[in-house]
Amino acid sequence: MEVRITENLMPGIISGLPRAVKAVFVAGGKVGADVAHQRVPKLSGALDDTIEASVDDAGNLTIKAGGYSVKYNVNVDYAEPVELGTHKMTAHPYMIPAHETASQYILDRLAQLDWRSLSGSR
Amino acid sequence: MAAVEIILAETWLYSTLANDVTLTTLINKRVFSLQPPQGVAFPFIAYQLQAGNDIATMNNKRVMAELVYQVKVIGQTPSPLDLAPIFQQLDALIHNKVNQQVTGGTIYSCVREQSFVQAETDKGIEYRHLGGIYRLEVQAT
Repeated sequence: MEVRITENLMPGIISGLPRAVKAVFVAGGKVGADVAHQRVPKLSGALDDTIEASVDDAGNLTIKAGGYSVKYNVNVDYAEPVELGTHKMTAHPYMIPAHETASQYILDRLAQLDWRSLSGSR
Repeated sequence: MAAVEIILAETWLYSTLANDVTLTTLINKRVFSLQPPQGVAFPFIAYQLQAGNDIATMNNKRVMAELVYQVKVIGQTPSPLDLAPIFQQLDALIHNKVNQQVTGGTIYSCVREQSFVQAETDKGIEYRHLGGIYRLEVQAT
């Protein structure tokens, strides 16, 4: 007598995947932004105040620094020279380390996704 | 962060860029890690570690280090085009290079991941930076 158990996880995985992946990206962005906050020079704190991470509906993770500092009420236009240095000042990298950390975090977490949980089978 | 691997990477970068005949005619060996000495003539090449991490086995035996460097030419000019010949030559020397032997280890690969141009004005003088972000895989022996 044949005993057969058939289970199709695919529909659940397909429907649950975008939300799960976006959650990983959001968490990765936060981890990256934390690194940027830790590493950015804090003379006034205005540049630090502009650091933020976001994930749009298409899945683009953006970690940004510079622009308008709400807390300090100033426009911060020195994000790039701090990251890359000037002709007489060494760089103080904070965004590339943030990107590196976020990327690795996301890759590690995506590799650990629990597919069964994702499919809703348990 | 891997201290020894950083030394290997910087040794390779310096020797490759400072000993090239074409670059020597363009910048006369003005190649600096971090910051150039005060009063140095322009243009010059500067490189600096931006980020790095160790790659290890599950029992924490270090295999190699991945190091992200910015390598750029800085000139006292309003136009980055003036710096292009220098940047093109430095990029040709270090981009997409594999298995470069240095004393104490190997540069397994060096690949440019992005390029950038940066504008700077200081006391009314225009400066331009033309460079790239390079990822190096380095193993110490």
